[in-house]
Amino acid sequence: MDNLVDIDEEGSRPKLSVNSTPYQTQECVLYGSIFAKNIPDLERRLAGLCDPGSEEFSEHEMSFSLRTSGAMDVKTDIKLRRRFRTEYQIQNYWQLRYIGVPEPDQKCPTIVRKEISSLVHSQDMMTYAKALGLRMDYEYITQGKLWTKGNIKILHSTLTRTLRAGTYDSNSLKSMSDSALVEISISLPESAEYLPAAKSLRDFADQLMPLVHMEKVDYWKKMFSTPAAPTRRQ
Amino acid sequence: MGVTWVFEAEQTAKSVERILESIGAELRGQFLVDVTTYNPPTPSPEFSSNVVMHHSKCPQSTFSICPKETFKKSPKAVCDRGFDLILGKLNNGLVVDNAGKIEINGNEYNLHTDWTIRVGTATQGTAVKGVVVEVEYDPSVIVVQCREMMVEFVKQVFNKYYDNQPEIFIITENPEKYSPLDTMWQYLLIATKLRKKT
Repeated sequence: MDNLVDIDEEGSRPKLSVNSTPYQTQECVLYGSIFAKNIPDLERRLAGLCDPGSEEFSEHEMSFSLRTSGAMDVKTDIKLRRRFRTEYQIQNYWQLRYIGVPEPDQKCPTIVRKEISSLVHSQDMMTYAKALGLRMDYEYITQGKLWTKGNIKILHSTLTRTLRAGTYDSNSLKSMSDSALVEISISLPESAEYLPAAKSLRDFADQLMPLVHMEKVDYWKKMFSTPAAPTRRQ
Repeated sequence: MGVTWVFEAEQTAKSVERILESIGAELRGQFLVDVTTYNPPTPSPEFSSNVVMHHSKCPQSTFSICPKETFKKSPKAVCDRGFDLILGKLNNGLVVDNAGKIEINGNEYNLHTDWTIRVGTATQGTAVKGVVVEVEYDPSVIVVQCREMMVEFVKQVFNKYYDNQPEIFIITENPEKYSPLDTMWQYLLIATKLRKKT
């Protein structure tokens, strides 16, 4: 029994700082993409690199932003995502996620952003979200697998969208592309030093190299420049 | 967690506690309920307020209700405490009304194991607004099963208040399940009433 590895090595895990809660974290993220037909190769690679076992998931994700009653003045760029597992028919449990604006750190090899997550149960989540002042921007359905290696989380999923809003059966789902999205991330306590974790995430990402090229996608530049552009032209 | 009846008492918390002790209730500890309203910056029919509540009985949960005319019509949710942090990020659309925050705290009593009675003083800031009593019958979550007995209980113990039954006792016809959100709705209505009181 001595050769058993203690999985919860309390001492080695980074402690949460005093004034942070487990709900509020910061995460280092990298994105990449792979042709769907090459996923088996990636899975073999991950099976060799990662902790044994993987978890399949199928989730519905919606992105919301806050529309204030003062209509035009400030457009809040708060994004909230809700996930649910379509396969279990337990559709009343939602993960509510606030994803902050990434840190403008050029030196850091990964995206770093604040994140708050909460589990919400509501009989009618759509009505509730509307009552909060949230309006949906876009939605999609993900299907894929989750792997872990220590505190690194690896997700690969194919994205589909529905042709008819509100219906999510296989007839109305349409694939978004012939590629799959790969996302690797580390969750850290809110005020922890993120650079060492970001570096170890980058090192891990490089091991997937010939198959997937993991990038620090600066998606936020696009996100913030587009809404402002049309107003300037007027 | 069982069927619960929350009502405002027209007597001091001390006198309610004395009645409870005289019938053999045991002091179990303290309890705390808070009711905070988040309002849209400018009132409009499209955006409603959101009432966020906590109860020390469910310390890791946040209850959120957007009050409409009835409980059934009100959008509502039970969340973990992370929700409070997300609400802070939504402050462009929902502004916290700290001045209107109602806190109810007091003692929790246990009577013959099955009954839990909480007697609390409601305060808004530093102003005392009233006394709130919560009677909980633990063994059942079906309203129609125990409402008659609960009415009798309140009648026996206090000899008043029993006419002032909560909405859920009156409207429920079928054996429906009672949930902590139903309790929080009662607190919400009482807090709204207490705020108007001077």
